[in-house]
Amino acid sequence: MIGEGKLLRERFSVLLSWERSRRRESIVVVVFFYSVLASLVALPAHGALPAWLSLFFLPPALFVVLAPGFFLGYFRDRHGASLRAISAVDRRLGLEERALTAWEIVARGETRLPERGQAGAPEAQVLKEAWERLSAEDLRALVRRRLPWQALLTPPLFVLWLLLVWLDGGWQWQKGIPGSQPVTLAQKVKDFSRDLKEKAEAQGLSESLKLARALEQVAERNLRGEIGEKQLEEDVVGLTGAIEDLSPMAPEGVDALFAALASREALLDLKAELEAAKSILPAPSLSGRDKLEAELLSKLGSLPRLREELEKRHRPLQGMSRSELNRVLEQLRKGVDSELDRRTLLEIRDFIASLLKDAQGIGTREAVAESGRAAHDLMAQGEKMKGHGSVPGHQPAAEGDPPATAPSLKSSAVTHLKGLLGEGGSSSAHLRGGISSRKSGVSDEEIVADYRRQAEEELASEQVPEARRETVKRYFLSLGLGGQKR
Amino acid sequence: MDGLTEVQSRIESCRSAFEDLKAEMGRVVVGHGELIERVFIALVCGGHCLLEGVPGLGKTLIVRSLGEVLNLSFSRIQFTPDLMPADITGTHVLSDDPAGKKVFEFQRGPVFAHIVLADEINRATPKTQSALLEAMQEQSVTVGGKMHRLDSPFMVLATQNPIEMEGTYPLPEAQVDRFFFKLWVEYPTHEELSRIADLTTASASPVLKKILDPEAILKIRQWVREVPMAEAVKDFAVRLVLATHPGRAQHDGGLPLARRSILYGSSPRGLQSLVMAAKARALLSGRPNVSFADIRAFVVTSLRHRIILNLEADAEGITAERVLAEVLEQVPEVP
Repeated sequence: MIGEGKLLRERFSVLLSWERSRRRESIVVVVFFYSVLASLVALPAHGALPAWLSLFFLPPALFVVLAPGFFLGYFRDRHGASLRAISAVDRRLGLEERALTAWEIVARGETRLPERGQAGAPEAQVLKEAWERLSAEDLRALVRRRLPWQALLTPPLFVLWLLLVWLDGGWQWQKGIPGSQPVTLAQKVKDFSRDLKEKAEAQGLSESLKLARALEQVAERNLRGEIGEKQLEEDVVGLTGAIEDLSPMAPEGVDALFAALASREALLDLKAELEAAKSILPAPSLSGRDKLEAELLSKLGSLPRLREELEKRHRPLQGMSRSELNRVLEQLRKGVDSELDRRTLLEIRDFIASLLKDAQGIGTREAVAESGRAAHDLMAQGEKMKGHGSVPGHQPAAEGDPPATAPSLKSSAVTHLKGLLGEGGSSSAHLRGGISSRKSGVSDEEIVADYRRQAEEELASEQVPEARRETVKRYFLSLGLGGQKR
Repeated sequence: MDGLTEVQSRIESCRSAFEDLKAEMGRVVVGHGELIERVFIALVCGGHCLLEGVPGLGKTLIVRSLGEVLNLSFSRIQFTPDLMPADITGTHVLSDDPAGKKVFEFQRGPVFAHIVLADEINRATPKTQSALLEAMQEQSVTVGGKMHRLDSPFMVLATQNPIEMEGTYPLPEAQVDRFFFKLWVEYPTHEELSRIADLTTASASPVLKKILDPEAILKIRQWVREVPMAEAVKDFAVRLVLATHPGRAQHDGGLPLARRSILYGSSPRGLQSLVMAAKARALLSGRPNVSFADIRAFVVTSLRHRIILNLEADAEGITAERVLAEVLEQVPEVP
């Protein structure tokens, strides 16, 4: 009995090892099947997945998540699985549970050959009969490898998943999906500097353009991994810290007057009128006639902002020669550009400061776009007056909000009413009116100046094709002249 | 002779004795092969049987023949409504001793036999029934304050007539639970009837050979208890018994008939009967261990009289056999 018990123990060990490896195989197949299935189910909702998880890695990631649960079940059911394996041997060989009983006996360690009348003799008989039948059999052949039904479905499901990932419009090589990733400081700076560069190029702001290019370079270095976050912040602080040094000095005597201009819009109006004046003025006369004709004076007089600035500087148009006027206009243009540049630089400084303050919290691209839009608004629009009021078309006023009041309109100041920036285009209305007891209104000149300014902005943007810009410009410039003709 | 050889000879002798018994009984009893087998198994397990069948099917012949073949004393008690307990257990009677003195002498009743056939037990009053049931339980009778042990082995085969139930005293469930098996005595088939006619009307009944004796039966009883049973097989028996208890079964969801038909499930005596009978079957079949088939073979006979069905089952004509068939089908051997 000693020999048979030991031999049976070895046979059972081989059988159970084989059975366990077969079960582990099945579990791997089953887990992979459910990983692929879960990946297919999760595919429509891949926008909600973490940005660092590429879709191609989803099945392995799910495999790692699901496998422990399945293997835990496997470990907990080891005894039951062994029972089933040996019971299968009994059934296949018709042993009537001799193998099962023998397995339990050897597991108990009963290998002693009993004497007559001693306990254990019936167990010995079971071992003997079990060995007689099992010794000649290949037990592993009796417990055949049989893959679960999931093995048949896994390959087509996996192919389907690959196909869907490949064809899915939202799939990208790059990790993450636009609009849902957390945006780094470098990305924010890069987006901002790109917008700034476009605006500076359109408006001829040289220093702002220089700064924009420098900021863009620093951001790209961080995105390429050449510098770290700390170095990025230091460089950005360094660039914007030098803004005071970069503040351009306008031609002497002019800077203070421009600085006193109430709003950026006024400066842009003036710039637009200066461009218009430049196009109105003919080339220097070869005949030596330098005097400004009355018609020319009249056209120039229709530019109210320009007229106002010249009067401020005690340089009325009448009495000015053409060359003198060209010189003055050039000075004014330089002064306006410098002032615009200066103001832009200051706004950039403030914006970068707020970005750096938020450097710990990373927002979404929408927040960046919104802050970029805010920066753009600062550069391109007039003074904003914030006031309470219901936001048109977007959301109702909350309970408890003070009643909506119209903003107070300053005399001779452009008032810009603006709604909440949301998706799609935004529109604004410029109200300007002098308060008088008789009537209030906006003069034709002011309206034309406003149109010219808007035209400049549109021309500077990408809305107007390059080939049509001159045509559009000449049209708007002729508007005021048409009015004058009447 | 070592232990192994002894076991081998033991198994072989039991198997051959059982085969001989069946062959010998077949000489006088036509059909009823399974009934004879189960009665013998109940005997070697130390249990008693409740037989149910119409009159004239050979119940008395089976029991008497079994007694002859096994060299066991046999008595038959016909239960009637006027039967008294003393008629079963015995009583003291006044008699003369050799000196001529009047003394009370205990006259043993018919219960003092190895095999007792209690015919139509449900016709006697509960008091009389209890006298027999007490003897079954204790294997002794107490008369006049004195205990008298009954012979060993001792087995009662009680019968019930299913067609004449008027004026009877059905055994209460608690008493029915004490019977090892409840066996149906089936009506003979065409061929069996023909053979009965030949056997009982043409020639004299053959004389039966004695196959075993009381000592051998007591040894077999001991050997039955030593038959090894795997834990998995025992667990299968336990799950089968638990399946008769709605709400406690592991696979309750798969037993709709049991869940809605059973009022009370089997007691632990049902499990004891199942396990012992399976061991006896394994030994008498010449196997050294109990198999799942051995357990399956006795589920109905061991449990049918131990489960109580509700009124809904009675109204729908659902029998205990049908419920147990569902249990056998749904409970797996290895979970």
